[in-house]
Amino acid sequence: MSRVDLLLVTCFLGAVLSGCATVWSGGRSSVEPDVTKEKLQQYEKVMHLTFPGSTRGLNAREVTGGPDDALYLKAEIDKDELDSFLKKSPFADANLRNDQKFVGNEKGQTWWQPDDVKTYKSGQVSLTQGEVLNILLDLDQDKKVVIYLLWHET
Amino acid sequence: MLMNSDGARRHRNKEINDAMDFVEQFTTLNSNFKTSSIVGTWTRGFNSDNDSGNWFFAVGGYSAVGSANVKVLPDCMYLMEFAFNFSDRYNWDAHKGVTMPLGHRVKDTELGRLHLVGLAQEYDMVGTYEMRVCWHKGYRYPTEPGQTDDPGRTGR
Repeated sequence: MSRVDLLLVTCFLGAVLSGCATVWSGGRSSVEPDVTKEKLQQYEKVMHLTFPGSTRGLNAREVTGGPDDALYLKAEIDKDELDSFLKKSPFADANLRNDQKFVGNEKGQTWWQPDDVKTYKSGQVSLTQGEVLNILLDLDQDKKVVIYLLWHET
Repeated sequence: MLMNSDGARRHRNKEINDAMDFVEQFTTLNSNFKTSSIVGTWTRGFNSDNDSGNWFFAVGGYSAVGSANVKVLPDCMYLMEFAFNFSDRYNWDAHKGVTMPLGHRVKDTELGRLHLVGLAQEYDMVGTYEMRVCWHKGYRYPTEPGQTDDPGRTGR
């Protein structure tokens, strides 16, 4: 085998193996650093939520390809719209806790840092068909609330 | 799963901490309380692909609950035989699928059909992780990354 052939074979094997590693390292996921209004509307339906007018999507990640799908969303709303947002949400009757976080940091997901939040409320509710919605409200700021939402199937 | 998934370990530790909270509060209110069995409420967890690729594909989302037999010891100490109980249904949902290496897509409807005609079977996944926890009032397990998991006197 010539040197050129050897190089080609090595490149081919490298490409195949890196492709396998990508597939097996985490199903299929897509990150949405600029969450558009249209995307927010899609997420509202999935998460059974109605976002207030001040909502700004900060980042999102859709996870598919495994037995259960998941959706991570980080958004920001005005603090004075928080109560009405919660009242219209599946968390309306939930006991949100300030001593336990229902979402946590994840490796390789630098924009998702709920563990760094000091003042918070957090909870979990079961939706229909084995779906679950977790929330963490970052109350560290005066006028804005950063909301971490994790929806997933079971 | 507890060995490989940070999320699952955090979930277990939260359940332990909830049990510790309950026991300490209950004994404060009821000084005659010496032994008891307690059960928490079912909560849900998710094995993220970032956390553990294997458990993401094998289980994904799941339900778990903590239960324990508790003994109150002298000097603000407590002993608990704690169990972290796991449950999930391995099933195929019509609207889903999984992507295999080299991009081959297998739809859940195809696998679900095998179940319907008797060539495959959906099943329940259950498991229990048991451990003995002995702690002083106020001790809590770490639930955030970077905190060392030093439980003191525990054993599986």
